[in-house]
Amino acid sequence: MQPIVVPTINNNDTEAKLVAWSKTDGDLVRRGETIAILETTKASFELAAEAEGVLQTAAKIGDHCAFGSSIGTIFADAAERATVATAVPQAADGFVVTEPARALALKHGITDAQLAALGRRIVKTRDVEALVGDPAGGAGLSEAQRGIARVVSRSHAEIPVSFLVKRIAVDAALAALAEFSREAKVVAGLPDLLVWSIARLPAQFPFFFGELRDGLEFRASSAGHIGVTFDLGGGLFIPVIRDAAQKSLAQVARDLMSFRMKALRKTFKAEDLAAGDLSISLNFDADTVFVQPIILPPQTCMVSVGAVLTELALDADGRPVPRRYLNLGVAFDHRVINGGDANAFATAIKRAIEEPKL
Amino acid sequence: MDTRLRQLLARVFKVAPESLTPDSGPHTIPAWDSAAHMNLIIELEKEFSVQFSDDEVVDLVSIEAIAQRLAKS
Repeated sequence: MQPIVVPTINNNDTEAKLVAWSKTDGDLVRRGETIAILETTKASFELAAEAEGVLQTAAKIGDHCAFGSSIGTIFADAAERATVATAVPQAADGFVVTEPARALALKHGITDAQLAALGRRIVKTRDVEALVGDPAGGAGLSEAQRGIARVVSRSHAEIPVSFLVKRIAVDAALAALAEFSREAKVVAGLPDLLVWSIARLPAQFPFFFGELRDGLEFRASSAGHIGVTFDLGGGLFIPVIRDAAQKSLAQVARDLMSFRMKALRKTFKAEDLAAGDLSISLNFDADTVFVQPIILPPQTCMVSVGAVLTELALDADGRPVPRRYLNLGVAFDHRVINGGDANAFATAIKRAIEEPKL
Repeated sequence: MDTRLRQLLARVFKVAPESLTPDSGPHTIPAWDSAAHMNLIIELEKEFSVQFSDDEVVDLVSIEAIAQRLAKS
């Protein structure tokens, strides 16, 4: 008996809407076969069977299913299905959830862990209603904005965040990027250099790249899957450059340009938005001094950059000269990362930008 | 160079039309950054009634490349 679990499709959402079942109850399914279509606020996602067997659905078309929740079961055979499928749904750790309560929990993205925390043997509708309270996203919000509301609410509720800002001079980087763009025939800018540079830091700063799961279990990732924010008027998207640690600066620049067009045209696919190890918030609009980003659970860090600004600085002879700079923000989960490490991380980024080695 | 293309590029990057050559690109036009590149793509699509694929967009980084792509439409 294999539960059909909704994976964490991306870090921009906490749940997905069940759009369709590709099979019906009692059908034989094969491992790897698409059995359901889910849709987040950003893209659709085909859910494949993780085992071969007989399908029994639980969630209904249109249900909003929390990441990590079960929406059905694949039984070993028809006999097992006949024995179990009609039983009252029961969570793994022993409590029973009534069907209406289960539907309400699914609708509001309430997880089994939250239900278990109630400490009740039987969870009823009113128990779930008490958990729902004032759901994030009031009347009039778009579905996409409701998804953002759920993520930022969870972030504020779960993550004790701390924040530091580091000033970074960018004249040398801008000059180097112009030369690099000419040679590589790409449009490479500061966002590309930031992604490329940060993706090379997991070995030195493992706790900034990965996932903090329940029970304070941290899983580091060295892949350098870097999420980048895009809001071009069509909503906020955080696509992820996969394996950025292995990519050239030119390839990162090409990937980011492709993402910009997808954000503009709203043509992202689910795989573009799959969970990253760390995210970067880009805020280059004129005169944006800095931005305090919101960490996307289960990540532990989010980096932000503001606009390129100009100041007067003193050259080697003590004469005032114009200098371009930006403010780099590092928001970090203080359960995992302390201020000294965050400062070292920001300093490493500063060095990579101020002394670019392209 | 096509007059419409030259005028469009001059407008997007706020440069004199006569300063543009087929070799012009991000390395010769300081305003040609990633944000401006997107604006350029949008304006090109409107002006010439074309739609570039995401893959094409990243390669249109010189006036010559843009002209060659438009010639295929």
